[in-house]
Amino acid sequence: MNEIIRLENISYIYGKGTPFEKVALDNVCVSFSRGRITGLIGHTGSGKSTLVSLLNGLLKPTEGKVFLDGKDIWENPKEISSVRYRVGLVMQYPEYQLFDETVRNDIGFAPRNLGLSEEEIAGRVNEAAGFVGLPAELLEKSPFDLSGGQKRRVAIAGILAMRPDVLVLDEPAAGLDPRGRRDILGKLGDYVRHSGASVILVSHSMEDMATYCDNVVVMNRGKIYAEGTTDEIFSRADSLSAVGLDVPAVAKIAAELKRRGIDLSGKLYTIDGVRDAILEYVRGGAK
Amino acid sequence: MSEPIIRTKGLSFSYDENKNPSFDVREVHGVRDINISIERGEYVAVLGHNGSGKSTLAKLLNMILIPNSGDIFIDGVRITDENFTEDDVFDVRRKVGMVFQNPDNQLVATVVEEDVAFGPENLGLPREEIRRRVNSALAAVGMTEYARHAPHKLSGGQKQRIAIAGIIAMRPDVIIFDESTAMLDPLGRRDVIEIMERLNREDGITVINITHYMDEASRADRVIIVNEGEVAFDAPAREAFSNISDLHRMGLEAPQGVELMAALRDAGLDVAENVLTSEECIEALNSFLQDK
Repeated sequence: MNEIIRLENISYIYGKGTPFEKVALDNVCVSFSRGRITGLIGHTGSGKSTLVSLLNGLLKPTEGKVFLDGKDIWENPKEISSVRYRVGLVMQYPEYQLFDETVRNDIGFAPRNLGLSEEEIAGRVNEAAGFVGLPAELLEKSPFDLSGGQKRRVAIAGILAMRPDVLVLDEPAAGLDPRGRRDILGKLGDYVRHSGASVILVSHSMEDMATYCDNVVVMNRGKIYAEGTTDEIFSRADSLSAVGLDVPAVAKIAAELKRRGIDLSGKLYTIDGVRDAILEYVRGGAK
Repeated sequence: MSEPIIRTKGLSFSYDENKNPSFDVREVHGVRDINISIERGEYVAVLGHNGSGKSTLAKLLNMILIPNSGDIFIDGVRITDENFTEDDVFDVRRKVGMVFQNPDNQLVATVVEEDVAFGPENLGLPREEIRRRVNSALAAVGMTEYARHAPHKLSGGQKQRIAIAGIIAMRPDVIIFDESTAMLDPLGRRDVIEIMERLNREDGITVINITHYMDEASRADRVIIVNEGEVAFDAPAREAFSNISDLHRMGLEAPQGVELMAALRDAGLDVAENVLTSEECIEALNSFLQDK
């Protein structure tokens, strides 16, 4: 079985028993697999941040259970901190959480807390820095001397160095230019292939979802609205618009061409996919 | 011809010469020899990779940063005048309002309408005038019903709308949006863009939108690309996005429709070159493919 983490009948209510009671998640069942990048989308207030905080035990479900590798993470609440090493959470703008004197120490902070040997820590720091594309000469610098994009990489490397089974990233590319986005998100694919971890990517960018994710989970008003492969989700453009989400511009272009009788098929939600479909169509027509 | 609302002459700024520990700006480019002129009522997008200097330029225009050399004229007044008083600086900031990226860092009050009133109160306006301005600013961003709400309970998009209302209440000539949609979800983004464009179209406010979203930039009349601290390109949006290889070299992209057309041309198809919007892309591909 490839499933690593599973939420079973989860409900979460903020301020339960007060006049400000708000149901953030309502009987949610969802699971995430090893070796996959799963996109988590939904507009503001859909419940995705709450869901993410439940995955590593930052919040305790009001009802329902979270299973990590088949084990209920709240079975023994005293051991909840061990879950946080196995489910790594990269929050929004993680570069604001850097604190140590050198990049090396910052990335090595969690492995050191895990009680690993200095040799093992050094190995993990180098490996994590390599994954995010940080040059070795930056390791001895202060993280505060780096550019925004580099700081972001240090923060992500700090989580990777724990070698989490599940890696959750909340808008890891927010505020980065197109090249920076491609760099960071492209690395996630390499990381998944190498580590076999499960990556959960929270983003508002449908273009990024379409390009980098294997599966997509769509949330709306505290419930799972749709889940499936990226193909399945992005082929249902109208159902996404119905919950205030959008499809990539190129998917809209392809959908409109199809509506006008041009029979395209393939991955009609990325630029490369639509290009290939059009080339295929032109070749087919020439025969 | 009337004086442009913003004009810069040989504008340069370097962070090295302005060592200030409160600015986290190392490895960020300053700007060098910037000469731009923006007419009243224009809708301009500014693009550039992280650290290219585009935010530095914005901060120079409303005197958050002071240039090392060169001049800035706002509405014909030389704001780089060394005899400028604090009141004059205040006046520049009233004329050139700025909306920043993080909605949580811009709101100061615990009630929405008090936050919007903060600027006008500091102008020393009479009470009734403040009331009028706050009401009309909240109406302009569609947040009237939230006047008595607490800002921290609003969504990111709603917070940005409040931040915009706070600027509108100052009756600015120019509003600079410095990646104001970067942290918003698609709906929030759409709201902010709609407001930005309505203020430009209906109230004649000059809008400068600094962004990483190419589809946003393609909606502006004019695109300025800042690269390594210099203006690399300053042209109508259609022209700015016509040279894909230059954009890629500067770490940028074109809107998806434009990228698609370029990819098809690279693959040997003779599709139209001069498309900008998705609609144009659909029409061009439709007529190209219908005959096949």
